[in-house]
Amino acid sequence: MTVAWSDRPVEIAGVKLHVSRAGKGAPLLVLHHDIGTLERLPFYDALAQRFDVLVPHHPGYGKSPRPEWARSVRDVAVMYRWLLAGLGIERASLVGLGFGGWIAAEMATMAPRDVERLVLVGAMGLKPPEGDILDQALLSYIDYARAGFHTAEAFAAVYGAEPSTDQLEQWDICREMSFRIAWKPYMYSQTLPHLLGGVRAPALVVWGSDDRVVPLSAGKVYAASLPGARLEIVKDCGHCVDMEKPEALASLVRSFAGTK
Amino acid sequence: MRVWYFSEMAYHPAWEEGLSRGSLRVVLPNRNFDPQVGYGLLNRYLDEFALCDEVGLDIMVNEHHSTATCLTVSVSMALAILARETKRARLLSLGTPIANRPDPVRVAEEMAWLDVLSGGRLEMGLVKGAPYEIAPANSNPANLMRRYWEAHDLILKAMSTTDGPFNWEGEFFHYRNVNIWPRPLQQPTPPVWMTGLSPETGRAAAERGHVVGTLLSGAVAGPMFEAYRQRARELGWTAEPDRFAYAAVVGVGNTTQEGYRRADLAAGYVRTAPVVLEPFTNPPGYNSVGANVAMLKAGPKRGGFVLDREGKPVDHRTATVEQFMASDTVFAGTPDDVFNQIRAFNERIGGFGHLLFFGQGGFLDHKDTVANITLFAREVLPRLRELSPAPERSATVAAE
Repeated sequence: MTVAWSDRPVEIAGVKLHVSRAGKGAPLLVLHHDIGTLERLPFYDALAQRFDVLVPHHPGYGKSPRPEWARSVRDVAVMYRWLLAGLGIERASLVGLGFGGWIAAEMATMAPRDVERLVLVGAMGLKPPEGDILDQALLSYIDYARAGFHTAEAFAAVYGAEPSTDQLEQWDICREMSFRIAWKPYMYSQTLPHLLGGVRAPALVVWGSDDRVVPLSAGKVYAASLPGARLEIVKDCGHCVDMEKPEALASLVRSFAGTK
Repeated sequence: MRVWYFSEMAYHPAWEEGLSRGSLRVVLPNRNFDPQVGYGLLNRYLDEFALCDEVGLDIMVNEHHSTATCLTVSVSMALAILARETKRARLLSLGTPIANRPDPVRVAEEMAWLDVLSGGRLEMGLVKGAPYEIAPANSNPANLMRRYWEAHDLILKAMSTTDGPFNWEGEFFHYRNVNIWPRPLQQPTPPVWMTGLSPETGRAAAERGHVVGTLLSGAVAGPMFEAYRQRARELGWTAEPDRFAYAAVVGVGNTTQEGYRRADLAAGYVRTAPVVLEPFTNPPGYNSVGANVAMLKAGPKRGGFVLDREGKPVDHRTATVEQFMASDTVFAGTPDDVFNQIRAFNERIGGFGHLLFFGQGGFLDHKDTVANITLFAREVLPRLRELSPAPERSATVAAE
C-alpha cells in the first residue's frame, strides 16, 4: 500500500525546516541519523500505517537550511519542541535514530511529562563506558556511512554500491553541521546522563547486534538510566536498524508505542 | 627582493615508512621517530638557519604537527632560539595557525615578546593552516575561516592597543581583560603576512594590506597576486612587489649538474609533504563541498599540490627536477641559471618581492645545504636585490 506523504517547510527559529508527514493515528516524530535521511524509507512507510508520522530534516541537514547560530544538539532539541508546539501536537512519541536518538533523549529530559513514548535506536548522546562512538573526523565520510551497516549488501540496497555525487555532497554538508554542534566532546553530552532520571515517558532502547558506530555499552546505560526502560537487540544488524531491518524495527515501535 | 631561507626541519629517516603507509602525517606512529637521530637533526637545522644570518639571508620558519615532514612544532620556539643566534636577519614566522590556536591572546603575547627580543626583526604570519593540521590540532573545521578572522582581529588589536585593558566578546573568543606585556617593538605591529592558494585570499589580504605568500606553483601564484593587485587598485592604492611572496625549492651549484642534484634532493619535500590519508585532506567546511567530493572520489591518486603553467596537476610524487622547473616549483642550476629562472618567473608573475627559499628538504645533507646557502647568498642574492629592490627594513634597535 502506497503512503501519501506531504512535504512542507515549517519555519522554526528562523529556519525553514523541511517536514514530511503521512499517516493517521497518534503523532510520532522520527529523528534521523547524522548522515541525514533519504526522502522516503520503507521504515517511515511502515510507521505511517499506524501513526501520524513526522519526519523533519534536522536544521543544517538535507533540505533544511543551516542555522549559523546553532551551537549544540540541545539547540536542535529545543527547535523540535517548538516544531511540535507550532503544529499543535500536545503529546508525541519520539523515535530517535542514532544521532536523532540523542536529540530525542534531550527533548525527553526537558519536559518529562509531555512525551508519550520514547524509542532510542543506537542512540548517541552518552559517553559509552566501553568503546568509543565512531568519529567521522577520522575516516572518509563514505566509509563512515558504510560503517552504519552490518553488510555491504545492506548498504548498497539503500544507497547503491557507489553512492551518487549528490549523495556524497549531502554527507559532506551533514558532517559539517554535526561538527558544528557535536564536535567536542564528540557526539555525547556530559550532562545528559545526570538528567535522564527525570524522564517520565516509557522508553524502549533498541540496538543492532553489530553496531560499529555506537557501542552497545551506551545502550545499556540508556536502559539503566531511563526509568522503566527496556533494551531490545536486533540480531544481524548494524547501527542503521531503520534501514537494515525496517520491518523488525517498525514492529517493535508499533507494539511499544501503538498501545495505550 | 628579499630572500628568506626556509627549511621544514624534516625527519626524512621516516619518509619511506610513511610513503609505504600512504601517510607521512597524522597517523604515522611516532615510534618511527628516533629521538637520538632527532637530536642531531634539530641542532643541525638550527645551525643552518644561523648560518643564513652570517651570509645575509633572512630567515623563515613554519610549523606542522604530527608529521615526518616537519619537526618544527612551534614557530615561537624556533624563532626564540634564532632571535638569540642571529643579529641581522629578519625573522619570518609563516606562520602561526591561528584558527587552530585556542588562545589568540597568547599568540599576540609570544609574537610581541619575540619582536622585543629580536630588536624588531619579526615578521608575523597569521595563517589558516593546511587541512591535515585540523586533526592534530583537535580543531573544529566547521567555521574555521570565521574563527581565523576573529583571531586575526583580536591578535592585531591586542598587539596595537596601548591604553588597555580591553574586553573582547566575539563569536568564538571571550576575554574580560586583554592587556599584553610586553608590547611589540615595531609599531603598531610587526609586518603581517598571510598565506593562500586562491584569488579570494589575495583579495582578503589586499583589503588589509598584508603580505601574501604562496608556494610551489606559478599557476596558483599568478591569479592570487593579480586578484590582490586588482583589489588594491579598487581600494585606491598600488600593490608593490613587496606585498608578494613565493616559495620555491632552489638548488644551486658550481655546475648545472650540481645544482640539479641539490634541487632534486631538496625537492624530496614536494614529493612527500602532500602524502596523507584522504579523510585528513578534506575536513568539512575547509574546502567547498564540491572540492571535498572530488578529493573523496580521487582518493590517494589525487593531484593538485603542484600545477603546471597551464594549471594542470603535476604528479608531485614522481616529478623530475625538470618537470618541477616547468611548473616553477623548482629553480635549479648554476647561479646564472637560477638567477635567470627567477628573473623570468618574476616577469611572468608580475613582480614579487620575497623569495621563500626552500634550501633544504630532507635528504640534502649538511655539507650540501651549507654549500647551497652560501653559494646562493654570494652569487644570486645580490642580483635579486638589484632586480627588485625591497624597502629597507632593519632592526629597530642597534644590533650591537
